[in-house]
Amino acid sequence: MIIRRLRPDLTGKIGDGDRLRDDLGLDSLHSMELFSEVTEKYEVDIEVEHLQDVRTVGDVVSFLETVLV
Amino acid sequence: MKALVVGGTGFVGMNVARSLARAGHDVHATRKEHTNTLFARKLGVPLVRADLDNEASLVEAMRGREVVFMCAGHYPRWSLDPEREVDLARGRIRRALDAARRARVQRFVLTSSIATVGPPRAGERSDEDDPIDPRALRSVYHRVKLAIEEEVLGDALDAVVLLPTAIVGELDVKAGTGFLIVALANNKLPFFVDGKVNVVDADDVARAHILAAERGRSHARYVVAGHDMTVRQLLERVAERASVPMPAAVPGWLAAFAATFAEMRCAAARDGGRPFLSRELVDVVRLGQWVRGDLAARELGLPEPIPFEVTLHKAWSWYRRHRYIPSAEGDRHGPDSPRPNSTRPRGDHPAFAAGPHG
Repeated sequence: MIIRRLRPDLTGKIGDGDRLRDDLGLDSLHSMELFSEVTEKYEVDIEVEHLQDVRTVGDVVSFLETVLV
Repeated sequence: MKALVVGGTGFVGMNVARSLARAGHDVHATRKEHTNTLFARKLGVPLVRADLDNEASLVEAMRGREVVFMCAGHYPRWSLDPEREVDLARGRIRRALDAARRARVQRFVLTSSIATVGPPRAGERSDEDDPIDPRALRSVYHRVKLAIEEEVLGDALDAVVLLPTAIVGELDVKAGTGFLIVALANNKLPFFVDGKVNVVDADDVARAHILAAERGRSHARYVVAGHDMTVRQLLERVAERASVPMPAAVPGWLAAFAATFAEMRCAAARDGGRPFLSRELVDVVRLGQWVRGDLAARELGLPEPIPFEVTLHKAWSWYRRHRYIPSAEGDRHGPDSPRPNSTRPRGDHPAFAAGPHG
């Protein structure tokens, strides 16, 4: 839902393997906003530096699973 | 003081909020519903939701606050429809002024821009009394800034207007003036437009805001100045630090044409993409000038500006810590280059997609 708000022109299903930049067209500002919203939603605190290796939708999910443990 | 920073997730707003908190003031900051709060959340300043398009939310945020620091405002993303942008800007600042009155705010400090100051009537440096260059009225960025100031200075509310020059420092999330630094450090600045620029430290700008609230004359405008230089000189310092070659200088008219074309392409695509070069950046450089900060020194007690090398070092360290620029010489890669480790720069960083977002 957040990704579709950031890129309202996206059509079709968004999958775990979709790359944030290359497939979904999210630049770094978009990606930071995405992380800002999901970390607020799940009430976790993160260091921005740790986001740099997150490349796909699946990485976002894995990242959250890691910090929520 | 009990303060509210409107625009508490932006570059200036975060610096002002941080300085207020460090000085022991009771400060809240606003955020929009959907925005990047990753950095603002770490400042230890309570964030409250408010939107310039929703007056009730502004009143609620301002209630009980003595001073409002207006570090947000309509920021024209496009230069293709100036009348619409100016109307939006006027509407949003009016809502903020009306909200401040309804919330019984005592003082309103506006972060404006040196863009509303024109070339010097005499000598080499401009000051608050130099009217805007008529040529600047063809720039939507300049027109928007002027319109916002007109609304604030024409209002009966006790207000002070600050005119910072090109701000460089920490927390520059969207790389405003820092676009030049970030792009060149990544060796992704193919050309530049030379011109006059004055660079001021974000901490000096934050200090000026607090002093303006405490000592500023009502309805006065104050230039917040740092150091005069040319864009070329600024870039040479960055190139030396980053060990990258200097880009080529191009005429301002050519860059303006390229920026307008880039905006038109993005507008036509309707996909939320950003132009690779913003018209605002080009206009600011083309119409840039050197300035004097005497009035702020005299009336606000603003001290001598932080040395430029210190400012550059602080900004550099912040950008590097957050991977906007390479952490070491060997880490510089383009977006399609191999990325061997986690210290690589981001090839898709906003600095390469949009220019300043200030």
